[in-house]
Amino acid sequence: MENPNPKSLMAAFHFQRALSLVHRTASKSSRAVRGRRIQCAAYASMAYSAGPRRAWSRALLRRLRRAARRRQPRAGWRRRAAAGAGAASRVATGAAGLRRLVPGGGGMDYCSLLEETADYIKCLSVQVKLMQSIADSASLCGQL
Amino acid sequence: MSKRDECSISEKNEDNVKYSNAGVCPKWQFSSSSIGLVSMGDSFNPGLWNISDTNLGLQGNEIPAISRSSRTPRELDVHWNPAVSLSRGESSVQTGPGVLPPNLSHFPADSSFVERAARLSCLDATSMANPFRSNQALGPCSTDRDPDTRHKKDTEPAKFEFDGSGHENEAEDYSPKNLGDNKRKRSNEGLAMGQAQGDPEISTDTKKATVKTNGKQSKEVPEAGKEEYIHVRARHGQATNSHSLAERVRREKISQRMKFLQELVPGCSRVTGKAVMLDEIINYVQSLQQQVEFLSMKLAAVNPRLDFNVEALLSKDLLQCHSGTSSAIGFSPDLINPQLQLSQQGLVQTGISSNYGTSNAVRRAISSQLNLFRSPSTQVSNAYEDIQHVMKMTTFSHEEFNDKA
Repeated sequence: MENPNPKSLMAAFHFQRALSLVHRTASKSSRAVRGRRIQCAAYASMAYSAGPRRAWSRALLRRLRRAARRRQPRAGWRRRAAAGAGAASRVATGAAGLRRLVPGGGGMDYCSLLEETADYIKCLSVQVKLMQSIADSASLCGQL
Repeated sequence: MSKRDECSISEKNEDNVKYSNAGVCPKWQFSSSSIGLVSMGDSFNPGLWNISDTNLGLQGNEIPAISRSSRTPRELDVHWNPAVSLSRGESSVQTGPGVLPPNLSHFPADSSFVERAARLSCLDATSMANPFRSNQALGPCSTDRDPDTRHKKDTEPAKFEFDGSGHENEAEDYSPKNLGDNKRKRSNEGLAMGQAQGDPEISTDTKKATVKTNGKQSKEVPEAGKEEYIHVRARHGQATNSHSLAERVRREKISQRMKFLQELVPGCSRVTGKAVMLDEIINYVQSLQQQVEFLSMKLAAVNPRLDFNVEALLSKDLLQCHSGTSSAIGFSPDLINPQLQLSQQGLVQTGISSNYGTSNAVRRAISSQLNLFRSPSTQVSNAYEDIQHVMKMTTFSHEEFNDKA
């Protein structure tokens, strides 16, 4: 990876903290629950490190907090996650599909949508790389 | 927390406002409240966005463009209010270019620019009063326009800088009053009119955004909406209708962003056409999200390893160099002797890179590492406790830092 910019460093730091937190608090829960929490932690740390300048980060954080507050996090989150992560799910094509994928995409015009998508993709790829490297290092030391 | 509740309520209200305001919010003289929103809106590090505020100029609301301006949006938005009031109080402007709200001087760091803006906005006022007298009105301003156009273009902050080129000047739409003026001006003058009209048009920004909240497709240009003005020169043989001009500008904007996205998404350099490109983008985002989910499931199985060697994780060099060892990782039970220095190095790196590693933390980490080394079997758990202490310490120090800031 190229020189890590401060944003990705922050993202990594926050994600790791969140990861340890999840492990500490939910070590007795099932793996699925923990996995879901880790996923939320990943999105949250990503959105947080992206900063409040971005509409998608604000929308994402808002969604996560709303879900956490309601204490029924999984229902809506699973639906949305499934929509985003479902295998070969044709949610929609074109701008509507993009709006559904990118958090906060419903409320902006096409131009801003494209812009937000670009930033979202950047941050998502950084997050994926980070998680991949954590998983790799975990497998290296034989814990995975 | 009651503060959180009211912040959340105001946040929800602001949700609609945010998306409908396109970044310029006349209600937003409460920059402090928005900062409050920013700070509350985070469970990890409440203060961090405030801290980074100073560095990045983060703000809860934004101008919806990729902003490369060094000026903080907070400054901008606070000073949009004087601009808005300036546009509304046109009569006050006509008293003279020197009569301006003092805040506006911050906004472009140039008092002459302020004068010009005032003059041109008063010019706009007069032209709006009588669109057919624009020739006369243009007279006094025509002289100093050209040398200033570029300057104004550059200082016009953060509105349309896509790649920082400053050539990104778009006029989303023009008011019908200025229609005739625009045709003449666009062909004669430079940016000046556009720039000057940028200020009075800020107040109408909200209208545009509210028109647009139903998520239009790309080609539609809201007629009643106005955004920041940029000069557009009608090309030879092309329609000079203001609507088509605006549309063309918008199309260019969209195509630029599509190109940018094309670079981001791997394997899309050969794809032509917006529809296919959009599908590719959607697929890519979906695949990324799937990867996140898959990796999070995978990480759920990982035992808690408190490695905060952030830099090593990101750079992967250490991982490659010490394959089979865990030095980059930090504290693992199967520690080998030569790893010690390496892990120390990694820890020091962490201390430096994370900005929160106090010397205490590093020392504790190293000492715990040493304990590990001495008797790996028995001391693992103790080291683990130490690690947790270290984590708490880093957390704590971080929070202290927040409080100070």
